[in-house]
Amino acid sequence: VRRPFTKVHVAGNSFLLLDAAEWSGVTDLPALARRLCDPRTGVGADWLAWITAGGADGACATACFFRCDGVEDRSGNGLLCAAWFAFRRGWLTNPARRGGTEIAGLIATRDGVHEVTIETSAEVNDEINEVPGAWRTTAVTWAWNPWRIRNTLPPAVHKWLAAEYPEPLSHLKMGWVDAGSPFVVIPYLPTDAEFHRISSWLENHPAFPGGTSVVWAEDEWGHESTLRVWRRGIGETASSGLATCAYLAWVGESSSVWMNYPGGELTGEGQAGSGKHNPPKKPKRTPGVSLLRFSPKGAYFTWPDLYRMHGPVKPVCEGWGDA
Amino acid sequence: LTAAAPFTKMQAVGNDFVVVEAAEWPEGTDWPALAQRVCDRHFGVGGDGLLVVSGSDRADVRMRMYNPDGTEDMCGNGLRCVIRFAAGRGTLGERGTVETIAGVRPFALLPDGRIDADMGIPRFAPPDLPMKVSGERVVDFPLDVCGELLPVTVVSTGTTHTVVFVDELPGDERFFLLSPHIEHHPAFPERTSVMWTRVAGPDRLELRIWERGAGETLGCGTGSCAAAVAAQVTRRVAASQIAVASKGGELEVRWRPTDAMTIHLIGGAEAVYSGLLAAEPA
Repeated sequence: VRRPFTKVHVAGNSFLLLDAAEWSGVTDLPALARRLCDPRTGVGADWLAWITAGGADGACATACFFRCDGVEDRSGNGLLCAAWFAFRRGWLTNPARRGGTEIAGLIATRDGVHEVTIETSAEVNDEINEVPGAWRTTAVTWAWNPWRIRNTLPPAVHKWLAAEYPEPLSHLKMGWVDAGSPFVVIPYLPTDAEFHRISSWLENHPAFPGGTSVVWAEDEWGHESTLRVWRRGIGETASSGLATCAYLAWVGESSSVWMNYPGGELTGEGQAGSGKHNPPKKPKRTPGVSLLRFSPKGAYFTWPDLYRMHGPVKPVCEGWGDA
Repeated sequence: LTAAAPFTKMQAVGNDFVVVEAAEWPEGTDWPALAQRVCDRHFGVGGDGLLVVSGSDRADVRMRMYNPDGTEDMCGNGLRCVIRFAAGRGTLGERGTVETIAGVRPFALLPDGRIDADMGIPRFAPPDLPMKVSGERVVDFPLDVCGELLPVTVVSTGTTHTVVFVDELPGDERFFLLSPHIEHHPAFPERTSVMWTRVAGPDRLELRIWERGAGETLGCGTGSCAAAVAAQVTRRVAASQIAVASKGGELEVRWRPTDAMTIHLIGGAEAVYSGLLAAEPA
């Protein structure tokens, strides 16, 4: 049976978008993600987004995101894509809020309900030189519970990095952000060899039982940063929405920051105190679920506690694949 | 999708292609530019090449194959994808011919679902490869690569292939270091693909493949032919029917080192999905 899908990308981070109603009867979503995301024998993408019309708390759609290795994970760019898809399907129809250029709504995911807006004016399209049919999409995500941050890495990890790459890693302040999906943050732009070797090693380190993503970043002008991201289960991605927020959380930035990725630009901004949680409130963790196998002692919690990210969703193709 | 145009994604032993019928696309389409756009795995459909199918004065159909960098080339796995694509649309029957950049290639659809494609006669003379060396053939020639003398055998099976026989297929570090240096070696004016080849039995080869303009690929039809031919001319293998395995699967190559014996490449090809491509960026 041939079923429809849409392939899009956000600054080179590629997604297959599936309307759950059109893929009814398919239950093994991890296997479907692995098969469809295979670049050569499948359609090829970093992620598969499984999107259902409607949802809890007034959401216009509910989205689940599966990495190309079949594991469900949190995705910032996926939220943007789900919003774009909901808009294209006519599910996201709330009235415009600013001069008729935006349509707003809610998208539900495993970790809560997120505000999204889509800017549709010709002015915006011209400004960012979009292809026809592409819209600048904004998603708002909360730092649930809130996110945990720590300005050190596990001793064994730090020791290895300092031994293998004494310059410059032994002198850098590295850390991690638990954004519902863990990110190690290294404030340095690596060579290709360093990027692949260290990122891969960190992803598979026992300190991170489910694997970790790695953000390599360098601040340029205060409000502009250059990033390179290794996403767990995927490898290098051309951009990452969640890494954008995780990096903002780590540097404690609350104003708007341009993030330059290999695949293009995303912007992110923090907003203090407007979410549900304020520091130093203790986070509630699900018993038995730990992303990090080392002491969170010394961790602090995100301030601000709400992040907004912006990025263009660009369609690549529509297709029909086998269920 | 605005101004969308149709395509089919196909694969043969993990070598994947975006296949389009020229008549369904606007006249004057810039195929090399389209190849660069659609083959990109982050921003496009993703593929090892673009295959353009059109009518021909010399054969039943014509195929043009473009690498992801936009250069035009010949491709054995691409040829089988084109045959499956055109047969599926009723343009080709069980036997026929396809015009390629390397000449007209006859084919037959086999009862077991595979395709037997005639890949033409292998060429060995340096001007035909092309390669800037003297002599009649390039067999176990010591090529200086990053200061290391690698014994290489170079064969053209419609496109240039450098076959490097090894006891063990190279790991990532050696593969990604040496392969691009061989591809861009000054001895190859039009660059070369690289077939790292292990003799795994009296009638079996294993490959790790680096294709010019594409990098590592899971399979390569012309490269499998080149490796099988090189294994015979260097007397590493005596069989005339050779199984050639790569990361994407297995192909069968039939050839005897006699004058005017064409190579037969036998394997499958399948459509993965059909789609409509979004409009080109402004």
